[in-house]
Amino acid sequence: MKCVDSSEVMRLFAGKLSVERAELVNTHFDHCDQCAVLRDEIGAMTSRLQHDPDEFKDEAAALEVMTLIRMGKAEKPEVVPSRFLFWKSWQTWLLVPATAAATAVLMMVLWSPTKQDATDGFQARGAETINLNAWVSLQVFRAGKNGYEPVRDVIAADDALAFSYLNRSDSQLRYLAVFAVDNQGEVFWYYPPNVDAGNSPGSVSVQSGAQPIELPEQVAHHLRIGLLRIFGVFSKDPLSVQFIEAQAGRDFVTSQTVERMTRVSLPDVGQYSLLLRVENEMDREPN
Amino acid sequence: MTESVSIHLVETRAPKTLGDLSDDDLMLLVKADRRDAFEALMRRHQPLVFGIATRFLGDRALGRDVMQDVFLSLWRERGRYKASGRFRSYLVSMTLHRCHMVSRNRKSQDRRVSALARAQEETPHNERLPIDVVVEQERSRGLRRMLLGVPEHHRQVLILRFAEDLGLEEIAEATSLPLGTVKSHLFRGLKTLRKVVQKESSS
Ligand SMILES: [Zn+2]
Repeated sequence: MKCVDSSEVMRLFAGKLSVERAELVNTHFDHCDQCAVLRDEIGAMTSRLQHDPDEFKDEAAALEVMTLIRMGKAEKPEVVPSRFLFWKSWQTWLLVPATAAATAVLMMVLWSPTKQDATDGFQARGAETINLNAWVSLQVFRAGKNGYEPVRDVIAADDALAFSYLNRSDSQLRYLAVFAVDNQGEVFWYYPPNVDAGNSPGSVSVQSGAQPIELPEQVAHHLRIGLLRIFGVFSKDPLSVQFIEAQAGRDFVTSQTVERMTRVSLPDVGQYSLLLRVENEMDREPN
Repeated sequence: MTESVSIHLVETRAPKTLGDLSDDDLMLLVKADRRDAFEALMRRHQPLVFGIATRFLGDRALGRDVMQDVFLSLWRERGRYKASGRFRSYLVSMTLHRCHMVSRNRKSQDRRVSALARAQEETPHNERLPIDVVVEQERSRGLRRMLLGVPEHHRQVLILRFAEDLGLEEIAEATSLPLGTVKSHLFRGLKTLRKVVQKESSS
């Protein structure tokens, strides 16, 4: 056979040659010193990537990790059933007139824009291309001292968040996942709240209707200071947490910042996203 | 400082039997909150994660941060792993995911273990190694720098294949790429790396 070129040797190293061709090339090396030199050169380059067995052994680093774990610093965010707190917060609002006014504002926030969008979606597009995003929305609340407050654009790093959703898809979108992505691309899960053991984690079945419905848990993460985007993804079929996370990861890599990452590329879903600024509790004005 | 650390390590070493368990069996124990099983698992795979991250990022300190972060989230998300005999791919994919994120944001604001970690970084790692090992490490460090001249998605497969000796199928699994794509990334990565190396040695 003819001599091989470096590109073919690299194809061999990359496992791209057919078994027959690889065999031929390997036999050729036995007879042709020139080609064998080429193989050895590329082999030497790749073998330099290998490390001495102890180069990356770091017991001190492992010990630090174990110390954090023993101190309980690596545990999952706490999840508290929030129904009671919701009720309590409503009670507070009823008692305090000023905050009762806030309730009215909140209801308007929940209603008007989505209603408008949904109508636009219907009129502008045919049945097949209806914009599923127009049917759904999400309202974020933070647990404050006086109960729940709707979140507009700022939260504190360790705020417990709770959510209500509006799903006007007439049962077409039956599953919901709520998560946040920060500007390091880390994903934080809110719903399902505790991505947990045996039961395969996935988006959870939700209702649809004309009323906002609250999610049963509040979740606190230790968030990074900076921008955070919260996503509510409503889907026709349950989506696995891992699948969504992988897709969100890819989208983040593409858009590089959460400001630009307004959607997660998922087929056949309605989604709603909200960009928030995470601040230290100290930096926030008391309200 | 170093001595007291190693004494402590001897005391807390997991029982020998744990070391004999498979990754999946250890993860089962970890899911039941067994820290000793987690420690055994970390000991087994820590150099793999550290090695991949350091090569990918071209920076040992960042690689160390990523390694600690990966194991902390492995513990935090211990409930999520499903035993399937593919623990290593799972771990590698977590590592790569982190690496991509870190390389987007080279700011090290994410140093959760910063104080301790910094003290360690200031101690040269290879202090007591024989001279030929040091020379060899310098050589591979040079190559590690050149590796940064290879685009990330090609670089990651080069590292997994040639530095960590993972099989093509396992790389496909860990990167969620089709096998054919892994092969062409490897091919292209090799081509670029060779160019970078040749350029470096001719200048
Ligand atoms: Zn030849």
